Amino acid sequence: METTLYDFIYLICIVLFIVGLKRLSSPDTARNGNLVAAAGMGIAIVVSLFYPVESGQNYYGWVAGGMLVGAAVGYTAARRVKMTAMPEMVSLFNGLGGACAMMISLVEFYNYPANTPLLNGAAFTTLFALFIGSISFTGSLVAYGKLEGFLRDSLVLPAPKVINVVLLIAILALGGYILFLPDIDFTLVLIFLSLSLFYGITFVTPIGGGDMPVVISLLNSFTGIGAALAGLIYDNQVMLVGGILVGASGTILTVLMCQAMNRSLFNVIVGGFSSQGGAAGEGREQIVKEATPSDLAIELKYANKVMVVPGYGLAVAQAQHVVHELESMLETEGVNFMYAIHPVAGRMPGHMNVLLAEADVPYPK
Amino acid sequence: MDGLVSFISDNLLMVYILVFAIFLGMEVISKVPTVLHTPLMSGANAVSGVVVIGAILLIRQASADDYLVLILGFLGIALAMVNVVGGYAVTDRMLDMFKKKKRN
Repeated sequence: METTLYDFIYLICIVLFIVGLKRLSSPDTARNGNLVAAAGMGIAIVVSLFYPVESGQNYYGWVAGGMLVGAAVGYTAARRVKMTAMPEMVSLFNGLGGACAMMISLVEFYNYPANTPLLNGAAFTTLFALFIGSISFTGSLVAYGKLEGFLRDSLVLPAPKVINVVLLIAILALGGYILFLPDIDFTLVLIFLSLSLFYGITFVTPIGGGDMPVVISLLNSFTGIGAALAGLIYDNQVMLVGGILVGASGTILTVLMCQAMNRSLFNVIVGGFSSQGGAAGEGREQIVKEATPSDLAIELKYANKVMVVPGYGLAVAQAQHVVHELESMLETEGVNFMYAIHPVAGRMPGHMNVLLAEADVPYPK
Repeated sequence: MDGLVSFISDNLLMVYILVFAIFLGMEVISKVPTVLHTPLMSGANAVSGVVVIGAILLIRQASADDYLVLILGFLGIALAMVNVVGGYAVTDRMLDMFKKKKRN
């Protein structure tokens, strides 16, 4: 078959993805791993441009246009974003991936042959992909908005749990109804889509503050599952494996993050209480003592060991450079200087390490 | 139910791949240190942009002058490309910082 060669190249891409992710999970090889995964993606996209398709007009103009626009926007955004704003950027990117899965499923339903019962695997998969993609899209946008600050963290819908449960039941019921229809009803699919989009919003809105990274990671694995489902629709192994890899690893990562915070995943999703209570202490007048690094260094010189516990505030104030200055001053005085980084300091687990790395702080500390 | 059963038997190989890939994904990630959680998440996020392939195939199979499909597909490709390119670029930037201080 003509497609054998292409399928074989797809296999190589899958291997590149796996090797890339594996290398990404170890500090020494991480950067290289990212490039390996990127190479896999590049090859997979090129192959898809030439993969033989049964019918169609091969609108390469539209394909090239979309790719150019997307690549330019993505690259510019990635270059410009500040390191402290990294989590919201990742969330935004993730939402766009989800939107793509959503659009694919929508088109699949639009093209669905008339007078065909929908109770089959293909329709089920497509509906599921539509659901997951939509949640990932709006959910990520809400997460982005919250982290970026134009959606208030305290914005809580009345009785979020009730709304969520009712919505979920409604979506499942409607989904089941659509599948049991003898013929495709595109209007119902659109209603299903709107409900799913809305559910994404209500799902993320009650979750706030420190739990945000967990949600982003969870939505990330949602996008992965969406991609995998789209892979099932198109019988495309790269999409299937790539998507599932992200889905599985994203889920594990989510659980790991929860463990680092001593919370259970269920607690994070259902809880949503972290947005309350935060305002209590703000009324007090705070006494701030300003000190330059050299003042502080003189005071701390008499200590044997100094441990700094940096938080997100340090990063926002871009104080990591000052801290590093302090470190070098003290180390010349023979003081043992250490960093104690809380696993979820910053806005994501490991985010703090990235921020400190910006100021050339060696990270195994 | 017949539809679902026949779907699974028609795509048995894909179902096998799916199940194995789930375990593989969990295995690959399980030993990641906390330091790398953010870069890894960002990198995995970029990989989930494979969905762009679906959009590409979608447009290539579009019938003549089907503008709804073309426009949705175009949007799909553009958005997913932002995901892919942006994701890898951001991850690279983060990891670049880790690398820099290694030299010191």
